[in-house]
Amino acid sequence: MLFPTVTFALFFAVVLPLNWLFMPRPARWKIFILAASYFFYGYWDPIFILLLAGSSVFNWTMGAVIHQAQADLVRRTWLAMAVIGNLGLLCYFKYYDFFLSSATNLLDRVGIGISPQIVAITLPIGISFFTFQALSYVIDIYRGSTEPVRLMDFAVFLSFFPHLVAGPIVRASEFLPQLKERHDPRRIDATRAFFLIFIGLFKKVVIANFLATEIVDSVFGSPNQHSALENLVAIYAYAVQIYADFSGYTDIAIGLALLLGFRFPLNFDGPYTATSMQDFWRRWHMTLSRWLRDYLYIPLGGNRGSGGATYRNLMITMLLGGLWHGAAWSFVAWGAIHGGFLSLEHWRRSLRVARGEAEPADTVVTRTARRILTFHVVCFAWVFFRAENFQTAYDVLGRLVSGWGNPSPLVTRSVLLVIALGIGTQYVPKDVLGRVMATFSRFSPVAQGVALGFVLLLIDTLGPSGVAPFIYFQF
Amino acid sequence: MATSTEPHVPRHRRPSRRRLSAAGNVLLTGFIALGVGWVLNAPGILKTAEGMPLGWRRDLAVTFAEPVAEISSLLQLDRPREWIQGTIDRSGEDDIEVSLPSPTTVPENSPTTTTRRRRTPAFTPQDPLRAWVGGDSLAITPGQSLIPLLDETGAAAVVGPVDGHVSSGLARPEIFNWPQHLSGVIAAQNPRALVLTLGSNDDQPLTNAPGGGTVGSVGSPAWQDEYRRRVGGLMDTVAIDGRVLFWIGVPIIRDGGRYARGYEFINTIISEEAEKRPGRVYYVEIYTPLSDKGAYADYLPNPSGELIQVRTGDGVHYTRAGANIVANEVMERVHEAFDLDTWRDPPRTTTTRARDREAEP
Repeated sequence: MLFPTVTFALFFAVVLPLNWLFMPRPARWKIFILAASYFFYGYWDPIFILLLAGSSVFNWTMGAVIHQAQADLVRRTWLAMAVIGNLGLLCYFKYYDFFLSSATNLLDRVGIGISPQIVAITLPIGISFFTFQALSYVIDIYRGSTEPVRLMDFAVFLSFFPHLVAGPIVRASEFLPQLKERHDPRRIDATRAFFLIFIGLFKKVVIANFLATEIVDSVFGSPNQHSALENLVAIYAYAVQIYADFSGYTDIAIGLALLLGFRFPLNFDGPYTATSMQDFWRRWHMTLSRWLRDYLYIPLGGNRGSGGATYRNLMITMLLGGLWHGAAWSFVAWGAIHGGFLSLEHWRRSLRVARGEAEPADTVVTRTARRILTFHVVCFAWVFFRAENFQTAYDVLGRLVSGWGNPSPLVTRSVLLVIALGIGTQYVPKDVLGRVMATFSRFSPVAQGVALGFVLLLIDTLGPSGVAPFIYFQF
Repeated sequence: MATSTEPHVPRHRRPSRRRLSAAGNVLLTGFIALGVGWVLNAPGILKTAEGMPLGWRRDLAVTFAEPVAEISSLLQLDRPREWIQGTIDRSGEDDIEVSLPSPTTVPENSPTTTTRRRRTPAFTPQDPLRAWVGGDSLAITPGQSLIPLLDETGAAAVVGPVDGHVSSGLARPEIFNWPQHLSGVIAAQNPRALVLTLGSNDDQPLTNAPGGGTVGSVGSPAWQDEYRRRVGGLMDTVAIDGRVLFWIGVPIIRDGGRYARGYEFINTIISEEAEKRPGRVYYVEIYTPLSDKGAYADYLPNPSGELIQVRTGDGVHYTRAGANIVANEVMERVHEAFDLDTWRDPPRTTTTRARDREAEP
């Protein structure tokens, strides 16, 4: 069930009032919201409800036995089993065919021919997200930072439908305490929720879909048939498209959760205003970068060891972060580019510290230069992320050199305007939106509804027909 | 990657000036927003409802959408939508045109008609073959593979990016009316060759048949007659005045039962109708090139023997490598129909094949 559809609107129109009717009785509410979430998930393929339920039971059991075990070795053993179980499930569904065909072709090149059984496994939607959430629960129990909860509470946490299929990656420590809170049905932050939902819809339906259909898909489909300018603008357009697509989804998810009485962490914070790659990762898919930092980078040693160890840890983290996105070498290359530039930044910083040099002056000029540089490094990496294979990525980049002087019919004023809108709005100060929301919250419910109805008019009329799946659904 | 070890504090600061709402008011706002949005977008919602898969859900949606659209029109509440569409050059997007043309070609019984010799039109860089590529979702990746192959000939110019319209076909003209659309394409862009992929969404009852009814039961004699009428009518709309239509058939799919129940009839009808129009319509058969000894396969060996994934996870659509196979099949038919080589000196007899260029795992 996609968020920007009539089907989901009907689903939510039923769930929202029932949610608040059941809320005073937590036991019944949990059964209700679990059933609603399973219905939402099973709408794609009911068989995968078993997978979600199985993951809930497995991880809850692992959390319980780790908590009960006394000896450190036993606790570690159970933790290892939990990690292997979760990653094994992920590998089977997501990477089995990829590794098998890669290995087959590699062996073939060295003269060893094998004919493995390639089974074309269907990837359950959202598996990367709920697997990481489940792992955070088990690891936090192992670390002693989270207490085990009842199976029903854990199942609700893992399957809560607003975050189920494409994040944000909510941790147990952020969600489970909210199950114990008293949710007051008279104090809902509805204005913020409605703004998030409608801004998210606009980003997805209008901006992301428009750029995809007007330029990105055509250029990345056959880069050599397009001019250098078209290739360049298509790269910028894809940067805006993926931001609008993914942040639009999480905006909607956070807004829906707010209407149901739950708070989710932010996932995006103006990523294209970043002044460095490190800053970018503090603003882009923040819940994933936090997860990778706390459950992979720091356990690997983080930046506590020598310079070499830090670079190794950064590269491992970003390579695996790339592979998390999809079973293809181009995602690994995307991770390698980010890891490489993060290492470069770290090296420059270390060098400066070793020489006793001061931080460079933070002026408007230097900040602007850093933002432009960071944005272009990110765009360079997006080329590999978007391209279907390395050849296409090389074609796109090569065309930037060789394709000048040709006509560029796809570079229209509308495309440039939407790209400028997608980047420019990230620079709007937060208090401006805060003031607008404060004013809106003082309108009567009827006036709010009419205003939002007109926003729906804009979204539906400006958006291309049909709803493309969210890019991050495939991850 | 954030390397700071500071604990993350979710930022949910709510400026004190923002008023909180009661659940009842939230519901009221939400329902009013949906209601106002529905009335203002009524023509688009009616079109969406008409385009839903046939069944009780569609009937129910149309039942609700029709009166709202009438009220919206009566009160002129659909004007803002019309005005926005006009401003962004998308006027008429909500119009629904359901009539489909019938064939005008008279079947010729003599077998010699299919082997009639004719002069192959030759094209040059100065006078290139204008080509259009489009169709349903199965047209998109093969189209993207085909465009560079046509371009490489040096004697063909593709008139735009792939003109793909997902979920479209000939079964449901209320979703997308292909004959009408192609008439517009021909008037505006004057292509000489049209490469069309249609059929994979047509294994369903045929709505808006002559008389206004729906012809159900895929594969029944009535269904076959009506589908044949639509296929022939489209061919005769396009393949006239020297234009040539290349119609890509439906590939083998993972769901063999679905193929046998519907796609087999569809491919047969398209190929038979193409045969009735020799030199004007070419049927591009891709069932065989995408099968592994007659069976469905996600992976096929490329020319160097490497296993390459040719189909996506849904068992229907193509990966880039699979799309290249389709594009190569089309190019063979294009070279049968047009002379794109003799302008070169010395004359070339082969073109680069996409499959040979694609060797990446």
